[in-house]
Amino acid sequence: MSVLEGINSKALKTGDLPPPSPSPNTFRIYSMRFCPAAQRALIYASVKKIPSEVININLQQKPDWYFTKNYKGQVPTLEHAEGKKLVIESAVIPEYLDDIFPETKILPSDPYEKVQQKLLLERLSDQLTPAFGRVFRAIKNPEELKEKFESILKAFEEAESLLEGAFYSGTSSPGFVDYLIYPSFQRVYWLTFLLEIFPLPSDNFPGPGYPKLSQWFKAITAIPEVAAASQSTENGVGSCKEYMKGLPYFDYGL
Amino acid sequence: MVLTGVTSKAIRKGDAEPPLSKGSFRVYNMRFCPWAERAMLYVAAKGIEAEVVNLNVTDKLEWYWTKHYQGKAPAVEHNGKVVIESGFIPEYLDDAFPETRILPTDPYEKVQQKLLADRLTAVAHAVPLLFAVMRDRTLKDEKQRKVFEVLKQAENLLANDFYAGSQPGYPDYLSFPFFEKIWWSASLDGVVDLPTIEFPGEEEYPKLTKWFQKMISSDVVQSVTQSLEHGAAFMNAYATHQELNYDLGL
Repeated sequence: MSVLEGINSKALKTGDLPPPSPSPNTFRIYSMRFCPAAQRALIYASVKKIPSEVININLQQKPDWYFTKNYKGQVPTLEHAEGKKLVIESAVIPEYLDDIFPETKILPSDPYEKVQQKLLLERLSDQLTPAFGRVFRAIKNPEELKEKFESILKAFEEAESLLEGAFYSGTSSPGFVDYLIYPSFQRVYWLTFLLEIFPLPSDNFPGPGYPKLSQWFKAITAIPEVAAASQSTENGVGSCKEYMKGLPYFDYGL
Repeated sequence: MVLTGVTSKAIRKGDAEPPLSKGSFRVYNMRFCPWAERAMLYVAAKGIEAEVVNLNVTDKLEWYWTKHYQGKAPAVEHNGKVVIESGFIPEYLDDAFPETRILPTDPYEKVQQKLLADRLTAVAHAVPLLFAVMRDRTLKDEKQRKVFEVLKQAENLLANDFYAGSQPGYPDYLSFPFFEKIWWSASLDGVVDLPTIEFPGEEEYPKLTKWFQKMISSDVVQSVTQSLEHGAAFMNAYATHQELNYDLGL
């Protein structure tokens, strides 16, 4: 049973009334169903088994009140203590959750091991996120696409070489890096269904060129707490198609 | 003096790795780099006894690539462990040396200071705008308008004497180097209309001006920083793609 309530609630938009402050001991995560950054916070809360109420935001028609939660108007935002505590940024929220719920801490306690996990996440993100963005933005221009694929393949080569064991945590169980980088890999996985000419396969993604990564992706995808915090391939791919047509996609599949 | 080697000559390609004795702490630095200065300030503020090794980052050392995969400064090294990235080193130092912790221990207060420092990176992004003006003075009016916006935002975010409260802390040390680079720019002709005396100007930025004076005159900053004259000259050479003298002023 998932600890995330409302993960598929309708996105709130301009004109919608603000939700009441969360009740005492309630954690709320402002999200958007297909946002990989928000998914990080959802996965972390799910794995740490923090009962959380999810409110989705329409990022193209943001409610005015949402800027009082996050001055950038971005997701995710974590809200608790009856609305008195607000934390933003997808790489910061997980650390905060580990600090306030140390009994389910995911990051290592050792200072050196902890900082190495944070550095590894940033190194992987700095390659994967912009590479995906370049492909996605070029998706309507087939001529441009093939050169954009190169940066994805390069990012995957680096990701494969940085994966030394079964998980990026360096232990026999997934950790901070595994949970937080997974959404970026999932987005590329969705591309394999969207684009016939995409150079990576859907089956056993990302394919025989990346043996460790293929095992890794399969293992993370199979974790129930990760699945509970993630959108299905069907909905993910469908939402991308709506986006490509310029149609609203936040509530796709609902 | 807690830091030794702050004004040592930069080592370069061909130079051997200096031995680091067990238990010793080292910071790999570039004297004029604002990102490296963040680490230097934090080490100094925590009172960590450290040896500074200045790097020539143009003529990169072969062995340094094993410490930083991009060959950049800063890095800190002790007990055989190397930590890189100015955004991560400070919190690591607080975790590894908790007796001189600068960040709050309360999780919410800690995260808010980290987010404030993150928000102040807008100042870091303002610095390259002034580099563009150093290359082409006709861009001054356009670029400095954005710099002024960033400074106004920084002024508004300063709720107390310091960003961390009544004493300097994490957001102060992590943002100061970039304010300093704007200050260096102000000393160059025709780059930005800001005073070098009482920078950035009491009329427009009253709190920020007091903050900057307190920071620049503090022992922590003075123990690691470079002079206005040499800093401005180096930065101008960097911006205009001239040959860089990492030992300028030594």
